[in-house]
Amino acid sequence: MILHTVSTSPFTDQNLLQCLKRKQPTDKLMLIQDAVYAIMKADMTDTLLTHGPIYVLSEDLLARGLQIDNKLYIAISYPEFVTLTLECEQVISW
Amino acid sequence: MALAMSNFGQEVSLFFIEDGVLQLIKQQTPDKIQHKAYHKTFGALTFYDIDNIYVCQQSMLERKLTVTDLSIAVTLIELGQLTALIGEHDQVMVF
Repeated sequence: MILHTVSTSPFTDQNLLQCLKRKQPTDKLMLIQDAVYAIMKADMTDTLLTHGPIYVLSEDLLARGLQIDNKLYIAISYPEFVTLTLECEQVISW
Repeated sequence: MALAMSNFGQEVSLFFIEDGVLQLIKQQTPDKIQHKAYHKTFGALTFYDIDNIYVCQQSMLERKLTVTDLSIAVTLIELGQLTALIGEHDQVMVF
């Protein structure tokens, strides 16, 4: 099982989409930094539905004034993020 | 930069497009990630006589934002209006 972390805005580049194309169904996906803006992008949420649940770093959401409005997304803290990295054999940063 | 220009008597307009509109979201807490709270300076624009603040309607829609989500009063413009408005300005700087 791999943890994929994406850090750039899906409005600006293709990193998140490119990651989705290459991830296994059992892999986990975590949105950090500007990638948390994905929760605002309606068509991205539709795409992510088949990949859920999606973990989102709560500090990065709060810093940007965002709130989760879909059960697909799970806000987690830094300590929970660390636990997630330990549960997965590898971490890939996109 | 905009504040400095206005101090020197220039007529300044600001355009927020694409991910730039995200800077205007209110209730940001950048201290959570050790960033400077520069979004608070937007409130000072009006005191520097910078009242032409344009925001792209299309960019707002894509991000499910409305004017009530923003920290300051802005003028929404359509995608096509941007080109015409930029044409009215002598100098344009992109950040």
